[in-house]
Amino acid sequence: MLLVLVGVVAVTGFLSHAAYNPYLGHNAVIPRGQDFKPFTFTWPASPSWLYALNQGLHVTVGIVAVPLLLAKLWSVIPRLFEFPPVRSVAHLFERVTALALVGGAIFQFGTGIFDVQLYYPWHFNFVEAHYYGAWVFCSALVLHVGTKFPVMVKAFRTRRELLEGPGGLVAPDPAPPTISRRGFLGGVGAAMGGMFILTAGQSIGGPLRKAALLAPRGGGDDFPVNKTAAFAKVGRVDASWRLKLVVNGRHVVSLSRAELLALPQRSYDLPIACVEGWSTTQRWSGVRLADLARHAGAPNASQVQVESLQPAGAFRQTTLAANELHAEQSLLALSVNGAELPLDHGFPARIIVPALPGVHNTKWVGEMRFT
Amino acid sequence: MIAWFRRHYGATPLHLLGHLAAFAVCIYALTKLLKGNFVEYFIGGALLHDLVFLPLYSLLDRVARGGERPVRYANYLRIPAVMSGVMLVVYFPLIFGSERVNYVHDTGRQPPEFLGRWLLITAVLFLISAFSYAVALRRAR
Repeated sequence: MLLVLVGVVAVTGFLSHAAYNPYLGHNAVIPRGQDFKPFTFTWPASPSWLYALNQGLHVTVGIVAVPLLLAKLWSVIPRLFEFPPVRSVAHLFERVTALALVGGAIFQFGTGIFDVQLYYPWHFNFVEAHYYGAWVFCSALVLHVGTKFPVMVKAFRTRRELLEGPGGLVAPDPAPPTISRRGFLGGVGAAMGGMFILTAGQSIGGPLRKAALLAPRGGGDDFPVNKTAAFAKVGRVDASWRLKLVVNGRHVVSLSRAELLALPQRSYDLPIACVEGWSTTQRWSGVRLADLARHAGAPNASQVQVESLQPAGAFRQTTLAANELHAEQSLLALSVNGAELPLDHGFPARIIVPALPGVHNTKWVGEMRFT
Repeated sequence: MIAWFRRHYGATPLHLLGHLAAFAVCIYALTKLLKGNFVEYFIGGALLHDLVFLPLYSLLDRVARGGERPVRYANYLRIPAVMSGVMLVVYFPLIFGSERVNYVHDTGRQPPEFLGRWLLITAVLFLISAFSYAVALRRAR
């Protein structure tokens, strides 16, 4: 069970890394060429809920798995104090793997859970540490499962829960039991259910959102903001604002908001899904990115770099791949739910692309460079 | 040959190969991470859990039960305590408002009363548990 949940969290984690298309422009947070290349591919732009599902699973399943992980660590603690501490070279290797496994699990769950609460007590880059930490944890996990697989099969087959002797999991001198196996698992299940109810709503939405009382973006706020204009140091945007369209390094045209509103408008229900595991679907209206490319005279552009008015920050610019630029529902949104875009949601114009990680839907767009 | 290997190494050659491969990946990843205070967090997390957190909650459990002997009400205390404890372990930065400033910058609003919510949820859990214990006692009579 824990293995299945951790597997879901690991796979969705690596998929999320790929969803940022780190091979394009300045998208990579982790220096390019150092991120185990086989895992980068062009992230699809449909279905629109793909990234919301991926991150909802990554964060919600991760948080729900915490009680099970703690129970697992509790159940194997006698092994930490086994005697003799090292029986052979092979056994030493297994113990080192156990350190990577336990340290890796606590590190990955800990850093991830702190990140979704915007809590950064450490002095390292979260994205890098969580990414490389995943490689340590996953390689130790694969090895651990590989080594213990025969034991697992045997335990399932004989229905004897634990095996005795060296390498077994039976405590050498157990205290009298104070809870039945069923009671213990029931308690763990109750704790998991509690975490699900208090967390899942920020991703799933609907009535569950109100129940997500402890989730960072739950409990009733159904259209959260990520980074306010004030924090991003985007001042008042007045009527002098123009969207600069650049093709192959040549400035082609500048468009005012009125001119953008005069272009063909489209409306789509699209989710914004944050890497932190919350998402929200709203009705966005604006100009299709493909129409803008055509307007700029670059109908066959293979990518577009979008730059924000935001003066600094890792996500002040984003490069979108061809499939994202030309997707039917990809918009430069000018309004949301029938009203002008609020400043905190990206006024005067923002990117909304289906299945794109939230922070790549650049807000306060100032310039678009097609190539 | 295999027997000789097993006697000296302690497991099969496949075991050795698997471990060497995984160690190579781990060492590569770790070289990327040796900055800031990463090592403290990686090793510290495991030590904190194994040598502080786990003994602490085991001790708490024993004290609450008043010693070794199994008592009937123990699990009516344990289940709500574990549920509420896990909520605290996961969400303590929000519950204690450790990053209030970040929250306001990011969301543009004041954080809700997470501490009050957690206390209320905890109270409800213990109430439900006390009620089920009362029902169980009455049934047993």
